[in-house]
Amino acid sequence: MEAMYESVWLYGPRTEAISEILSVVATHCRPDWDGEGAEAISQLAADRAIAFIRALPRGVPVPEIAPEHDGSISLDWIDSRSRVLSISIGVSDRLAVAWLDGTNQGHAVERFDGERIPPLILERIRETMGNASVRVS
Amino acid sequence: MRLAHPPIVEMVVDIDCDLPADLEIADLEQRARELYSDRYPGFRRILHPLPGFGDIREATYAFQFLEEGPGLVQLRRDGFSFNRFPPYTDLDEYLPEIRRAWQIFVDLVAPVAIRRIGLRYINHILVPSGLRIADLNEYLHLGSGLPDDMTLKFNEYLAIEDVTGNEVRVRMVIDAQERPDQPPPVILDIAGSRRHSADPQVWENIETTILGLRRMANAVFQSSLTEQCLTLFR
Repeated sequence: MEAMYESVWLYGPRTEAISEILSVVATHCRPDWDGEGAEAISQLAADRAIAFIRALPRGVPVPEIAPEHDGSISLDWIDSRSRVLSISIGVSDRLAVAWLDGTNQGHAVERFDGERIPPLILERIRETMGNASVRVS
Repeated sequence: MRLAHPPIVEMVVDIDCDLPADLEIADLEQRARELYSDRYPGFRRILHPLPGFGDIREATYAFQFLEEGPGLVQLRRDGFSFNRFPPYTDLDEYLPEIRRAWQIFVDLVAPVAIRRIGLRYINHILVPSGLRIADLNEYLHLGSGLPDDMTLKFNEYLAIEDVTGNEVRVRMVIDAQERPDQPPPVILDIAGSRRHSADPQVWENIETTILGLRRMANAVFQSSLTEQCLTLFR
């Protein structure tokens, strides 16, 4: 195995984010995990979320991880209550992107090929987290 | 040669082992936390993707025990790691603690044999220069055969020392620019290792190997940088 896990300086934040994704899957892999009819988080959604984390360029902040009611995994970059970027990753190659930046807000759908982060998303991450003190990949 | 301001951002000692076949690392969490907590109060569980994964126990790859200071110990499914971050002083200062943390690992896990010992230095070098090979050559020995007008992103080689059999893999990476108006930092990643079967109980042999790897890593470091670059860290 490539020594991804041994160097914390090079890979630590990404390794932690991947661990969080796996932990979310393990604890939400059965239907109705929220008692309100949620769909199970699938292995395929986890694989796509992990690929996304691995594709983040070094120096780009890593997100917080959360399960979603529809079985997707939410990757959230939160600078403050009014500066947030959220990407929803499910079983398809389409990413639902939503952001809030002060009084501006927006949403989009981007495709992720499993290797290269769409430029618009990278730009949004940098804009959202520009001033934040965060763990970087 | 001792540098006053070494550009080391991480030193890692890795000892890869064959562990008992019936060992389940997840079962060791509580005991390991007790044993390491005196010096390493922080804790992280590292999971690793597995086909058909759905069980944290099965996916547990490592436990990380974090110092309040700049260091941590990793109990991995395939071995032991000791990571040290700046301020970095000298490996000799850390060897007693590496030995102590290793002995806890040995008592806890009872490894069958050591397969590989590694010593890795990751250096972050801020060269006051541009990206072109012609400019970088003032600070780094990049090897012959690279055209001067080439834009470098990555350079890597593997060397094996004839006498000891020690390997060293050297990676030089031009890191992502945090600000477009500044020159990008260079990551010089020197990873020495020795693959051989060794007795986990005999620390003296392990230490001898680590010191041999340090000698090699130091030589590679010095030969990778120009005198002009070395003066940045004196």
